[in-house]
Amino acid sequence: MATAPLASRSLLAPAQQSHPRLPASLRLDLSYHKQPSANPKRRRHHAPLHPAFSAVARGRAKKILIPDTDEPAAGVRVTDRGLSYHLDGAPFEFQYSYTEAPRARPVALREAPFLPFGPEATPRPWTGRKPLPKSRKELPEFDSFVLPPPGKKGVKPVQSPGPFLAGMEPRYQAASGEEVLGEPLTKEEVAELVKGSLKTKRQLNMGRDGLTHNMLENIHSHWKRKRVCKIKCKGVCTVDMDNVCRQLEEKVGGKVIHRQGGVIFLFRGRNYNYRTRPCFPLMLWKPVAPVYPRLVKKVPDGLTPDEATEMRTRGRQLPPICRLGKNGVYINLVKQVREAFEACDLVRIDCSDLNKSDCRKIGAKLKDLVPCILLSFEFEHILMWRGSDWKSALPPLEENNFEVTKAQECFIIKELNEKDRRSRTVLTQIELAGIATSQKNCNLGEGEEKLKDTMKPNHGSDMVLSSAMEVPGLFHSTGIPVTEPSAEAPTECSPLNPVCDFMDPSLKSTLNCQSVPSDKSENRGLVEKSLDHSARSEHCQDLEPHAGVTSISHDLETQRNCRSKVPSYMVGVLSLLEQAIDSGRALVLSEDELVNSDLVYQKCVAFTKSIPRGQVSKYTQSKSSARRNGPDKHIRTKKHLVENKLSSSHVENKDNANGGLAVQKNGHEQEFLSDVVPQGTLRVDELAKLLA
Amino acid sequence: MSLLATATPTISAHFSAPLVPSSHAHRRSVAAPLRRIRRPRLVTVVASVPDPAAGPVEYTPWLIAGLGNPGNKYYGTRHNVGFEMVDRIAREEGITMNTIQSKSLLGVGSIGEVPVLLVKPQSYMNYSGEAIGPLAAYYQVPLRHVLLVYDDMSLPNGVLRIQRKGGHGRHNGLQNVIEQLDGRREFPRLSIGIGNPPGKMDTRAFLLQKFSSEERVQIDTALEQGVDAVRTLVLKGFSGSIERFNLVQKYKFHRV
Repeated sequence: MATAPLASRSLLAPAQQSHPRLPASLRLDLSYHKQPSANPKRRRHHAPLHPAFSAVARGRAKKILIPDTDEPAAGVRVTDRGLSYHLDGAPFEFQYSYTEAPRARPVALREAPFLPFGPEATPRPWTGRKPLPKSRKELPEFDSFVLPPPGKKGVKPVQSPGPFLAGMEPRYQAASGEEVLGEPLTKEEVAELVKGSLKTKRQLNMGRDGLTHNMLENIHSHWKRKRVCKIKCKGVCTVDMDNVCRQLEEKVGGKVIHRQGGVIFLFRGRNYNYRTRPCFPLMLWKPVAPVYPRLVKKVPDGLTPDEATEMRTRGRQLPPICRLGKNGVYINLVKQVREAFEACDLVRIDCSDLNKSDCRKIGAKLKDLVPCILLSFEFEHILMWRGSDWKSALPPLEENNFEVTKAQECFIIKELNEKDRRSRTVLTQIELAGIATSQKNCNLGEGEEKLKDTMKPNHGSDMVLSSAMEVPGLFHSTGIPVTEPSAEAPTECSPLNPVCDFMDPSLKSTLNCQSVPSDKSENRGLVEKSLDHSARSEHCQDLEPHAGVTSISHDLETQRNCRSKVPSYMVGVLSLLEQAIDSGRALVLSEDELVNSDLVYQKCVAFTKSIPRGQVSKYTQSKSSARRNGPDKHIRTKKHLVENKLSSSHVENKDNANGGLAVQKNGHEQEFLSDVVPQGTLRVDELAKLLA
Repeated sequence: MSLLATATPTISAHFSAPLVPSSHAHRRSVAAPLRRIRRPRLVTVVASVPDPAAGPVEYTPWLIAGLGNPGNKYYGTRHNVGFEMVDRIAREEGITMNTIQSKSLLGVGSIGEVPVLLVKPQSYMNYSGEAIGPLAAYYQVPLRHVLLVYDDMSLPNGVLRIQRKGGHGRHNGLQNVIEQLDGRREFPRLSIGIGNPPGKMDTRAFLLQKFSSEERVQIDTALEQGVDAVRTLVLKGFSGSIERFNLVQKYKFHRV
């Protein structure tokens, strides 16, 4: 860009301006060696030039620095939102675009400021045609409340004003905006209006310039004929749809009744009269945009140049979070960028399909909306940094949070309940330790440190370690005979118990994973039972002797206990399972069969073929009635949770009820028309006669 | 009864006499009726953070079904991640899957205090619905407690997502399940991302391929995270932590 010195130009600039040109004699010689610098069109230098091709229009744009006074020219104001035009008697200051004006103060102007509303004061020569002569025909003034009679021909369709609530008169003399709007619309009215206008072909399009000044007049001309104006927004303006709706309601005076993606439905008001609408002068020229401060600073605030370059190099490897298509709808872009900032401090957006100016515009909007700092626009991507004073918008994690694993460090750092959670994950890993991956090892290491703080001095971390190492062995041993765990259990119980001391009682629900008593899981059941006992017996304060004295008889007792004691919440499902096994619908496989999945499949096929047909088909019918009775059923299961007898009888009742219902429903279906109509052999006319 | 217990201070202040809880009963008839009607709100304990000691949200059983193809030939292929996830859950919760019923391999157990059925349909993928539907009916599992675990090509490799309901996304197994449940789509799902087939590769060939080594690592971490998520879902239901999980998963590879 040329950094020309302050050029003072009067408003009525001369058509020609001198600009450095080689004399005509030399130009011909040079044309052999150099590309023609002037425009390649054949030009007659000596013929009088049309003013459009004059140097004024063609020359390099000279910047005009804005003087300190508020108004560089009559009515043109430089504000924090770009240029605005002030006319006497106007309800608000006019701007070229009400939504897309950048929220920054312009630094310089590119041309002399002028009011673009009329042909009076413009530095550009008039290059258009003379306006057409006005038609002599006297057109009647259009009044929205005086509608043409419905049968009249040659009249374009007009929707009547309204909708009016029952008992309310239309206000013919509505003056202010609220009076024109009238009462707030009810839901039914809104639904009706929207339904009628969803599929209209008449719509206004809003693009990269957003809500322009002339669009206000267009909206009014839409409202002349229809109650609802449909505006379709595409491209840059959709990044901030809320602002668009707000500006529409302020400037035009309608009400946004429905928003769907990038489409806005604007209602004109119950008492809208086209005759008394506010008339704005149209903007006849598009004013050239002023110069705004740079979007991308080479070294943003709070960063050293090295840090900035390091961030930019990092950003080149970052995968973009999304790819923007040209003229798309980007309403979720701000939200996605905010979410992505939670994960990483840099965000990259792919703008390869957009215009460069659109890419910059989106960058500018994101800079204001997501507060962030733009780092670069290279390779047609936007690279943003969240800034040094960025705060996470996520609420602090709850206490019992399972799903966040150690891999998500950047989320974990911000937690409040760090200590609690880590101690718990250590314990869950002791309980359910899978293959000890390197991750888990260092987790254990980290967790130990935390536990060290919380544990009493006599229980050192080495005990935790030893128990952690031993326990996986215990849990993954398959087919251990019953007597063995009794020997190992005493050693297991004691190290684990002190750890349990510091557990919340709530933890026992998480660690208490019961399973169907079987050979394999007995060991688990045993250790869990002892854990359970230890956790529960905190109040009884017989922890130490309980842990220490684990004789073989005690172990056997606990084993017997856990085998016979089926928890109450499992009763229903287990009884159903037993019934299925008894009635032959289900088959229990032994361990050696489970190893090979091919074997399992073959067994399954063989078993399914051996089931009598009738039982299988019953399920779908009871499924539909079970679904219908779903809500009552689960309330019932909650209430009768504790009592074994009641719940089992309830299950049986359910079955009978289902069966009965199913049978009834079937019979009912068959009854209707069964004696009259042989199924499926009637012709359409006979059917119609029957049903009429 | 907690109503009375916490209402004590106000009433006692009103009467300006220390009230013993036992004598509260007859006092109640005098003035408390007014108080009780007017002030039930003050008494309830509203906790914004759920009490960690509380039990699960609902005790109705969950049916966790993983979709896949049976047999050793399809073990470890992309389409079978559902099976792998269910195997993982079974291992972590100590549930043995040793029963054959309704064309599937199932195991009954519990997560916390919620009974859970882990199901691996042994009908091939396209007929999984015929295995799962009747099972859900037989065990009277409501539709909102049927969790389907399956592979999803619309998510990048190793990204999980838990949804309350949704469509089938051209997944034949899901289509069959929806069809068998009378067209109902409002069952929760856990989708495990496997990424798009590269270039013009045939979709079916892509699905029946095994994972590459880097993808295998990503899937293994995803399976671990998924087990945690399933636990939270079963115990707490759909809550803010599930939304947070989805967010974490969506941006878990977004780091540099």
